[in-house]
Amino acid sequence: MIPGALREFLSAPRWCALGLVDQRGRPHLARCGGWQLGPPGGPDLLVVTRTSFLSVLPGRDASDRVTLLMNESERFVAYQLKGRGKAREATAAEIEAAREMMGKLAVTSEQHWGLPASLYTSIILAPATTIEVTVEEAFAQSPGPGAGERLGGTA
Amino acid sequence: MIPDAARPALEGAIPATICTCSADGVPNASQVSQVWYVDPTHVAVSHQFFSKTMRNLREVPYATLHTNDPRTLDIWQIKVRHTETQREGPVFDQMALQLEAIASMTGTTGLWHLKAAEIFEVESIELIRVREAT
Repeated sequence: MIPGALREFLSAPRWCALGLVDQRGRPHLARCGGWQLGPPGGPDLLVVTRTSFLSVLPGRDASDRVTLLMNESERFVAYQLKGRGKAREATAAEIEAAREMMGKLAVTSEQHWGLPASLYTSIILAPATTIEVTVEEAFAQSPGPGAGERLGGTA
Repeated sequence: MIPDAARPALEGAIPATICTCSADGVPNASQVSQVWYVDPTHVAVSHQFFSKTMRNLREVPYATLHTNDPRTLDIWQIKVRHTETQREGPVFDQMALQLEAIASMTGTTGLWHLKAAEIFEVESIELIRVREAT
């Protein structure tokens, strides 16, 4: 379950990275393209990433323990969501929603950091994998003394 | 060996990401201000707000780093093993200086205090292209 305070943060485009652990107990990272809030009664988040970004898949050659680092770099605000994940092929609608999110992220990054929007909008997303994430814990991750503070959850 | 092509991504221009895990297999991801070239087989990571990351590295010394080439946003994926913590010396001084410059440019002086330079041995490094070749 996603704490209420985080829902507004997650309603806008953010940078997103997925952390995984393989069967040898080694950590892995994958850049994500976007996400949607999950349907009622289902997983909390549907996170889309290009399949080739994933060196391991949760629930297959990695454990189902996942972590998501979401950040808004303009204000140095970040949160980490930990939980369980399951991989499946992304639908066309999910890929399109992720592209739309990256397009919005491109606009804000160009305005704030001067990075050309084309750097983002030309990122290849397909074929893509969706990670269905059930959030168990959330943590503040913004730089400063509050970093690492637990926000709450269902665990 | 770190290829020359990776050097622009190892100058702290864009914040990077580190993933570690605990002995019981829970991953933890954190942003880092800098991943810094030390020598052909080592990088340094700026340690500012790393409580969970450091606990994990004491249990499992392995990590994965993602750092972007600032010209293309292509990702250098670096698999590393933690070897030591430096709180002084030339690497620490260079990283602290750059962090002060970042703080000055972004109006966040005092937020980016460098506690240590965490030194990692590079086990593998791979370029992940994010866009179509032009």
